[in-house]
Amino acid sequence: MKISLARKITLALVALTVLVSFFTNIGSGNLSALGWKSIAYLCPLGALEAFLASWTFIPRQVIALGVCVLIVIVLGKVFCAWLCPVPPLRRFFTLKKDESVSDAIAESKKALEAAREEGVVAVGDAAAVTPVAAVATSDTTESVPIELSVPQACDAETRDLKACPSGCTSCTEQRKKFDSRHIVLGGALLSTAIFGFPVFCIICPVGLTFASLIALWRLVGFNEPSWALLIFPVFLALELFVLKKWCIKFCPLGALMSLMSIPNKLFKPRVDNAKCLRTQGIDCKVCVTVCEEELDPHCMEGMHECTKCGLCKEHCPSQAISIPLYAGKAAPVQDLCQDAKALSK
Amino acid sequence: MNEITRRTLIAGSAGGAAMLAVGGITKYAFGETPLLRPPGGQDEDHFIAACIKCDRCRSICPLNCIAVANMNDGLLNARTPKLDYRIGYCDFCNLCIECCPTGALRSFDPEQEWIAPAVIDRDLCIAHQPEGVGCRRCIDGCPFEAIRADDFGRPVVEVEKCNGCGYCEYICPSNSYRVFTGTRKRGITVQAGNASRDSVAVLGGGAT
Repeated sequence: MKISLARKITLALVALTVLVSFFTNIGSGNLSALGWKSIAYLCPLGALEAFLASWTFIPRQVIALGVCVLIVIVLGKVFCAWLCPVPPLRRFFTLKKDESVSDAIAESKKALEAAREEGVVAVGDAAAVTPVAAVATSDTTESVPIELSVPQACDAETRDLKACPSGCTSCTEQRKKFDSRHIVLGGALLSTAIFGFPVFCIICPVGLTFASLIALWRLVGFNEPSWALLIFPVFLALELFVLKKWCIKFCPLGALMSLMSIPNKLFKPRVDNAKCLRTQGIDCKVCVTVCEEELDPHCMEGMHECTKCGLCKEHCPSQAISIPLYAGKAAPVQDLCQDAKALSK
Repeated sequence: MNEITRRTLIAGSAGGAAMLAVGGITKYAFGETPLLRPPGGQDEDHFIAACIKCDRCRSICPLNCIAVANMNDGLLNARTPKLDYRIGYCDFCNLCIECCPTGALRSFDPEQEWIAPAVIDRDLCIAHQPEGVGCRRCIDGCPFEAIRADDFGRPVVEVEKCNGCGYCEYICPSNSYRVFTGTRKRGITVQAGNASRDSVAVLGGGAT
């Protein structure tokens, strides 16, 4: 099954559970706390805020937070791609579809054609098209560029890919470990401690999504009209469409999970250099373009931000990316790149 | 690799400042209107500090007496649970307390504590009308025998026995019989306020 389909199904199941809790008495709740009786997933940011505001930490809360930390360590920031309703909502309500991905794919194909005509890519690109050939040619494609790359290294200024067979386009612009989201997280926690209530919950887009649904349901089912029906969706739209890069620039929940996911080792995307077009000198950026977290799977730096959405794997024109349970310590491209940098100094 | 660019710093600081602004504005400009909270949520400061608006208590309540506060109750209260005794009443089944994930609802003893006292509105109560219909619904119905009849057969709340379960409000027929009053309020209501039993004299003592 395609990962994107699995993600849609997961999200639909969550939405269904939340809707069921509207109309029945199972008390499953929403993504702030989703569960059965006293066992529940608890939003880690909500739990922290509740603690900071009330200075009480009940055992249930500690356990839920601990479990959450464990899950994020094992699976990474899966919440962002698999449970959070924000990215799908944004996609759904964006009328003008983003064409950068299809553009990038087309560009890569064009570059591949051009390279073939020039004869730059002789056998190597066959690896991209047929897996059988990949086996046959992987030895040569893997070993040759390494030797060639050493004197030239990755040119950080021009980012000339042909100079760097390891093709690490965006090593120089990988995401930092700390960014604006973490400052927002700090602000949210500070504000919570000062004013004595979970401040971020008020404007959390996840909460607002369900709040809008609840407002609609209360209006239809209980004849309870409220400004909420107008205000919550407006807040949500502001966050989604005005602060377009909400997820990677502002979201404090993502920030908190990114801190927890630093030790994450499993399900990291791995690039097979033998198949990757970059190895053949083609400036292919499909995986970077498609990644909603703006990551480059060729670099291990910043990869704890990976949400395991599988888009890079699905869109890679040469099927060079896999998401194995454990990718091992091998981070070939990054290592190559750094070796080359070190040598060129 | 780890230096933060100026743009990042500005975006982050703006976001962080916005968080402080949201906190302050919500707290002081859209402050609390007192709401009737589910059992165990009577300490309003603690409740508002710990509630993360997960909606679980509202959903799990088997008698459906827990509703959702909305923007009309203030931004701070929006999405938090409040009791609506016109839809159901509380039988202290403890389910909401058990499923509250952050301990916003704490353990509650209906024998010792109260949600809030029931108060009779003489203008709306049918038995208090000059034409006196002799309605005894709340007197007969109260599960805690906290409502007695006075010499004229009109209901009087004995606040020391009342724990605010809301059954009287739930069954009060004033709204169906006296629809012309133009209010959804009933003849007897459990009213939010300083929910401490020490304040009985102030709040409920004279409420007949």
